[in-house]
Amino acid sequence: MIPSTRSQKITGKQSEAGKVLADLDQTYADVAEKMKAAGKENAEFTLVQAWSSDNVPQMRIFTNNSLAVKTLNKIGLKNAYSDPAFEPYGYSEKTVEALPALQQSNLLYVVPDNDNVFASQLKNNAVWKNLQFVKENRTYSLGGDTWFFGGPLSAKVLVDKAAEVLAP
Amino acid sequence: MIRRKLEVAAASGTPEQAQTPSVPAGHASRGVLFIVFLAGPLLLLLIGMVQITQGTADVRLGTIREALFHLDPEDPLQQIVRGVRMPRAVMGLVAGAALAVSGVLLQTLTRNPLASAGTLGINSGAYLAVIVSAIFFPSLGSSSPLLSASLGGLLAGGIVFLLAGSKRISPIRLALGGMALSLVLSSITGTLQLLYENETSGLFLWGSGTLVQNDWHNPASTWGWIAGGIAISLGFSRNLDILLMDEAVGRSLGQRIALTRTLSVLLAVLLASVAVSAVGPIGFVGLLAPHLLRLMGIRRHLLLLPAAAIWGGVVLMTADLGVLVLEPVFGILPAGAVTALLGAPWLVWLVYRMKPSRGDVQGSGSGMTLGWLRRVPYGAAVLTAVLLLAAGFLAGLMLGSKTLTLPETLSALTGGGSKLVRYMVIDTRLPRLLVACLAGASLAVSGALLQGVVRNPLADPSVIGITSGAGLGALTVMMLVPGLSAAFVPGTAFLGAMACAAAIYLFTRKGGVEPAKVALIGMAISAFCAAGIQALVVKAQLRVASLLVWLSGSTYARSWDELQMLFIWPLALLPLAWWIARRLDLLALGDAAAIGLGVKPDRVRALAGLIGAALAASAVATVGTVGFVGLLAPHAARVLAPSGTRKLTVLAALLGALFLLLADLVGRTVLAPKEIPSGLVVAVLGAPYFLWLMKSAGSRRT
Repeated sequence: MIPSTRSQKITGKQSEAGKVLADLDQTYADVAEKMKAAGKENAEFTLVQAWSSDNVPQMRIFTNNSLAVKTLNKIGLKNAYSDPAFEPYGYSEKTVEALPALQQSNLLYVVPDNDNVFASQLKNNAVWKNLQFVKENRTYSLGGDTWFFGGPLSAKVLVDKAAEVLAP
Repeated sequence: MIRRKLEVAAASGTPEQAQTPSVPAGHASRGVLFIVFLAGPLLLLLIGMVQITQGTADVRLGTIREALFHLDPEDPLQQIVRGVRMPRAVMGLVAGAALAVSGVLLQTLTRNPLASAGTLGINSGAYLAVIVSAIFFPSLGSSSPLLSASLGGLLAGGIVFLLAGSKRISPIRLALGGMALSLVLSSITGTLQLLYENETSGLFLWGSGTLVQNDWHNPASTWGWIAGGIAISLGFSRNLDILLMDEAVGRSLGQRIALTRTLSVLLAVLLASVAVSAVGPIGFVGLLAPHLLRLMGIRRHLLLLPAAAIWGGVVLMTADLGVLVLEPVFGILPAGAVTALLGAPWLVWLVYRMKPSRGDVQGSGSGMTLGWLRRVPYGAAVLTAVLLLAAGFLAGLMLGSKTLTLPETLSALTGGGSKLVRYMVIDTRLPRLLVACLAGASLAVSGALLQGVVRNPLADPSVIGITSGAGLGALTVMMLVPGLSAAFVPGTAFLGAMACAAAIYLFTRKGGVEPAKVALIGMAISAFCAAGIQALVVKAQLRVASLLVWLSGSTYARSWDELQMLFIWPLALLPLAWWIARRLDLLALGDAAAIGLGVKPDRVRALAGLIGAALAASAVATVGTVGFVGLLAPHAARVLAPSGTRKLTVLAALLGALFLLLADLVGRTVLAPKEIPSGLVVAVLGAPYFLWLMKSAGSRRT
């Protein structure tokens, strides 16, 4: 999460780095306020990256040890998903079968713009159609350009997007 | 005729059934019928039930009953059963039935127990067509993959049957031709997938099929075609019985036989293509299920066809159950990989069991010459090849992301020029070209030797399984010892390739190293290793990303280090190959004659096979699984120069070097700065030549 202090030293940009991190903390605080105001404090989410392979929807459901989930925690949201196994990359690869257990939460997802499995492959899927968050329109696309990994900038984009969809 | 029958017998492992000299018996015992037609459907039901309970969500048998009879639309588990798992089970049944019935038809039609949509290249053709239409006619492709798949399947089937047109073609040659054709087709598919990543990303990624369903769309749109196809085939089952009778009887029945043949080809291709359009190319079902039934004594098509439909379903659903059971530990495997893992050992066992038949070795089954071609004198051919190689080499040094002039290149070679140019020429381009040349030469000579051993012009390290063995070896070690340096890849690949060669030798040793057996066991091992590679890639994912480029066969960024590892092998082995070549020539006279001349055929074959395998292994270890050089270079050499394996090895080595060199050059200049792996370039450049080759090899045989 925090860029290594060593790289700050090597590049001699400690002050710039400090400013970036301070800005990021400020963003967290602002967005957390917004969430509270919208009544979304402690709202549960399921964070998913999805794409299709073999014409089959593939999903990465992010676990609590991932950067993206920890980032969303900072703005007062809670991950609905937990995997008993430890996932070294911070996500479990699952199919649509994993979603019914999470249907009370808000689905936050990222799909490639030209490969939206939720709009194409799963559109007529019996399981998908009957999920609570689908029926109640609680599925939110974070856009194709949000990245769940990376550094301060991608973290900022993630929380801004989350605020945009959950607390408009 | 007798020889052919012996070959058929040898290939099937059950002589009496393969020859079917007179009326097919049709006296399957009551017990067998009971097992096939009563226990089969019950087994299907059982597998289906177990399969539906497997997966992420916790589904029990009770849930299935409720989902079927008292549907509660609010219950997500029941939705999972009805919307996800039942379609998958039904798809397995339908696709398995289609593939198995298609297999029966093709086997009867070609009188070849090794025929199936997978082995004849129909699956790969259909799959390639699906990819092509997805890229170039997206609107057509997505709405009706069925149409494009059928066209592709028909085209591939047409090519193979063109080759089989002379009815005398031996089953093994047909199967090898089909395997080689599907290798070509899947290489083209691979290239297209690489070039049009975005358009094809959603399509079958590993090209080996999956039964996962999102809804009822696939089963609903295919079952009608498949049921209809099977019903029609039942309608002319008696004519199919006649096809298996003596050719004379068949001929006297004239017109109807021709109609039956045409109809069954069309039906077989249609059934396979429909299956491919829904689940991707899945092999071995069309071999396994019919073989099981024929072993049980079911011969009459009226019984065999429906039985194959049932047991094809059993085979594919069992494989899919394996996929599901392995999913928690292994990740999602392609169903096609599992059928290959199940089916390949079966094929090995079949071949291992078969009685030694010496009949196969008489005469020149090897198709080593293409007599009607005007020959170039040997010296001239070698000289031309050397000149071309030198020219190609210079071009390789000059061309690239930055093109150099000839004087610049030459001065860099002699130590002049700027530092950057010297670095480009000497440190990046030169070693890479040398690696390409050495690897190409090794693969070509390996192919020449293996073709001599197997006595089939379509044998090649990649068809025989040595290349995929190398890939599997490297991957396995990388998986078992995480964090192992990439420097060990060549060594482990070498071990894998040699292990495959040893396995082929062990399984074929009984009763003498027979060419036909080598070819078959090699094919089975190749399929097995390819499936193993798929499984490991699925399992390891990110950890083997660096190996994927290597697996696709590439001369990318080869440096002096790789050259150091590679060069010793060809230097040691090429002279050995030259030495053993003459003995191989003697074998071409037939085993009896060779023994008379004081040559021990088995020992020569084993030794030549070993040298060939070692050459291929060393090449694969450095440049990855580059196929076809071993197939194409020896053939080009044979066309150009007179026969004689010794001269052939020299010319083939030169041409192989030239070939891979050019592939490297084309691969890195055509789409620069993007690079196409040379393995794919070889396959695409070689495909037209290969098709011509199959045609002439097929028509030449008398």
